Amino acid sequence: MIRVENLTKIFETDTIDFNAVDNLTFQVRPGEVYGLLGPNGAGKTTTMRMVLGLMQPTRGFAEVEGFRSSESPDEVKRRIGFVSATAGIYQWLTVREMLGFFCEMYGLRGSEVDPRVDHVADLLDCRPFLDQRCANLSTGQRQRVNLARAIVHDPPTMLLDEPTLGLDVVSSQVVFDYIRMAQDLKKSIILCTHRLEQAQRVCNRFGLLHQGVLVHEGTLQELQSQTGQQNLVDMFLHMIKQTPAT
Amino acid sequence: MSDSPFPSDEGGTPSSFRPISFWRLAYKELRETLRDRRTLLTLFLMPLIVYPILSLLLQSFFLSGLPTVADEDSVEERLSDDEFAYVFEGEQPLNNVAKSLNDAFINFNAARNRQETAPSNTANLSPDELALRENLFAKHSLIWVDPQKEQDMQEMMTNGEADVGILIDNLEDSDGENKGLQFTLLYLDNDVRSLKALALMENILNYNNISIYQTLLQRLTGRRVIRVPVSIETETIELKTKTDATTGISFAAIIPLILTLMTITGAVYPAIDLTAGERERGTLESMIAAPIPRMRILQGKLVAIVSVAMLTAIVNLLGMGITLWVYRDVATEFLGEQLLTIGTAARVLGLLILFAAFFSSVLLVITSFARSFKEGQAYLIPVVMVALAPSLMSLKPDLQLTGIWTVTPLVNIVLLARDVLNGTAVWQNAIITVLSTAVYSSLALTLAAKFFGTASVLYGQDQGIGTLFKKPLHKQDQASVSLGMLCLACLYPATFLWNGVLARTAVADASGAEIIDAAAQQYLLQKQLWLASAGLVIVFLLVPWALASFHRVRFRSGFGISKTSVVALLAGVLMGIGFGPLLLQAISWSTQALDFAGLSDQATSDLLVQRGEQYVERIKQAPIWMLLLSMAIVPAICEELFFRGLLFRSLRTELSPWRTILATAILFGTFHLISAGGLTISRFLPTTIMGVILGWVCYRSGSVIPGILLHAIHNAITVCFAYYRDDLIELGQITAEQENVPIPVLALGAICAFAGILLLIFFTKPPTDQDLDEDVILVRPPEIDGVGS
Repeated sequence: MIRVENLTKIFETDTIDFNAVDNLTFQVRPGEVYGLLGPNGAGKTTTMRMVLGLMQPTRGFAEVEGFRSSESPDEVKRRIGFVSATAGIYQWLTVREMLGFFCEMYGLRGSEVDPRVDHVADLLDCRPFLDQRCANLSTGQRQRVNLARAIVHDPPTMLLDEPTLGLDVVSSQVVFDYIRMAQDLKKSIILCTHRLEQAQRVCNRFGLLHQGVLVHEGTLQELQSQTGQQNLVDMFLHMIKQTPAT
Repeated sequence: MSDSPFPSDEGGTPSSFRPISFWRLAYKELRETLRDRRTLLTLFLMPLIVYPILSLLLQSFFLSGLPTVADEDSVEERLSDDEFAYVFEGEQPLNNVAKSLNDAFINFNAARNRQETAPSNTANLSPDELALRENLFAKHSLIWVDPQKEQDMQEMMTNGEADVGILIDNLEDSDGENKGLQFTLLYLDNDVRSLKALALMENILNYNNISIYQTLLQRLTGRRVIRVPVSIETETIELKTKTDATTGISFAAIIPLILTLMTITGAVYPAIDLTAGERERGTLESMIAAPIPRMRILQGKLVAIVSVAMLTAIVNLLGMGITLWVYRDVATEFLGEQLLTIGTAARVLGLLILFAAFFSSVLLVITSFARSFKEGQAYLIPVVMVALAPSLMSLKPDLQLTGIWTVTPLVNIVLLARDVLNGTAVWQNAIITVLSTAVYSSLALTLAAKFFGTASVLYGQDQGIGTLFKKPLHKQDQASVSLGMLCLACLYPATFLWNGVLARTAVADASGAEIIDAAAQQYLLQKQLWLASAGLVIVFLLVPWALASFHRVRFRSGFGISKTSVVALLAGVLMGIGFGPLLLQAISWSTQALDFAGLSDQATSDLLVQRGEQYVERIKQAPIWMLLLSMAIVPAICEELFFRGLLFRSLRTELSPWRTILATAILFGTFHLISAGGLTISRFLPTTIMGVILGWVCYRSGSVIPGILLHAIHNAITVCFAYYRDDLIELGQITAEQENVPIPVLALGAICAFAGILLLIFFTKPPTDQDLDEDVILVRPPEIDGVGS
């Protein structure tokens, strides 16, 4: 369960105060995939970082499984699997070593590590390259390793920030298959993506973010009635047209 | 995935979570770093290729440089490495002796030449004679240099025109009868040529050898050439003006420079790679997204960097050692015989840990600010340049590891390394050096944890190292940890500086005071007391206040001047009265324990006691009110406002109450460890205990005021005890030799202290973590904090 309440982030610069996220409020229930969608610079990634506790909100709060990220960041981090498009992998470690290391980072020990690594590798089809150095992996394989890294501790909540960036259709399918499976396991998931057609298929509810403001929120049907548009692409364009850039 | 570590409904409980140890973190970092080809390149390729090439170059450089030692105008012949120049000085007719000795040298040379061309019959020579002959003729030739009238002997030596000076005097007994000759040999310390020449001359003049020597000479030259010297003395002269490159290089002086270079070389790459490099590769975000405190991640990285730095240095030293072994003749010639011994290796290894720990933490804090590899490199280049300057100071022989140098970062470890290798290290100074280095490294790590992996570094916001010097937009209730650390970093050397100023003023006054009257002496004493108080106010109050004001920290809340209950004040008074005698006794026990354990140098402790007694005698000339003001009230206010005020409240934003109490107490103890008169190690434990008590009082009462009362009363009791000691002895209350506080006084002290503690426990309520957290959330700059715990 993720609860975001009046979440605001203002970046102070020497000249102006910039509202990256403005008074954001939404909830993601267990088994729900929440599509946080918006153009570049809308504030999606900043929101994700605040939920995870990597960035402190100026106002408001984010709560994960009952823990506030600004007060108990470690408790929140233990309950979140975070995948980001910019996340890297350890070039000089093998996939097995890297996943084993993250198992330990999330509190798993000794005999628990190897079965968990094997389990996650099977789940995301990483076994063929499990003992290869990460430096030798293809882009698709790297992103799968990244996803595997995020789920080694089987978190109840997932934050997926552009998990399919740079991936071909086949590799993207692995990611979306996992999202569906996680949904069945009653995990709460926030998904940020520019693949709107895919998002439309896997997300239960959507938040359309523009210039830090949650412009529209609801299920696809609710958005359709709010915007008068049939699909997410049209809704997107409609939203941008209606809110002039500042 | 049914084997989830978290129950799916509520998440795991904190107790079920076992955070990764920093050893595992370090293991991963090391594994990754050591697999990196670039690290291996720095580690192994450099020593394997560079040193043999370097040694070949150095060898040819040194050998080609040898003959140019002496001035060609003053020394007719060019000297090779087994030819030494001696200069003689003595009153007439002693010059004749010198002349005879010179003749002997000339004959040696002639004899050697004859030996080389047509070996003489050696059957009649004893083994000793044979050995001596080999020693004298086969290896060395000696050239006598006429003393020039316009130059004295020492000048010739420091100019490189002579290696050893020989003063020849007639020894006469009380009846004026000539007893023989006295030879005083002057040599240049730290000059290999001079030392070798000295050894050779000592050998020649050695009384035990002289008969063999004379026999030998007589056989070879057919006449007796010198009289038997009855006394040989050696004196060293300082190498002040000798600047030629071929004079001996002190092994002990050059090693710190090598250690600095090696550890920096080894630590730079992993320091950048494990911080800025990780950020650039995108792995830092994944690491920070895991539930591990940033400090632990940094500790893991520090262990990895220290390990790589040490490994690099060891491999380099091994490479160097092997090269020196291969070219051992040249190496021994220039670096001396102390090379390549196990003892030296062990000492170098110990020093290596110190160097590696210092540089790794410093580099780590700098690279923690960096957002890219390039930025990290840009930050480190000036650091490397700056680090070389203090390292070169070890080559300055007159610079001693004392006073302010013991706490000057880097200079202290460089000088300590030199002294340790020379075998001249003083353990008190070594302790201060190691302790202060540990403090600096810990401060660096704390600072690094403040910035490492923060949003500003992780996401390249317009913050970073400049945040330390940037004025916040809003007023703050308390100082941040980094500000507290910044104050501490300023205070530590400032205290030493002020102590040095006080000591110098005292010396200047003392030298002048001998010729002035008692009234003027009292004036000078009062001036010193005022200066000491002014120093405390400046160092502990004005400097932190200026820094805190710049960072917009409110004075009252930032320095912990909060309203408190009458009960807390009363408790402060009672504990001040109680802990006065108790801590006096603790100091006495501490001193006795150190004596018992053999950890105190008797001469030093006697000196300190003597100084202490002299000090007490002197200050007794001042009125008691002035002593109480300058030694009880002012220190109590200043030290409490800083340690239990600004520092306590800043640390409390990050640490638990007991950790804060302990940290401030240790820092308080460390500050008192060193006084103007030298290291007073026996004070450390009692002062730290006092720090714990004061910290606890501050925590319970939520204010520094009860602590100020406690501290002032405690100091006042100590001052009064010293001031009225003679009166107490006269009254028969104590004896002059008494080391321990009388039992009834101790008992009364314990009762008062206990009563104060009970009052605080039962009648005060410390601020809860929640109260503090609310404060912290209000005052924390949101862009910097919030990651990790």
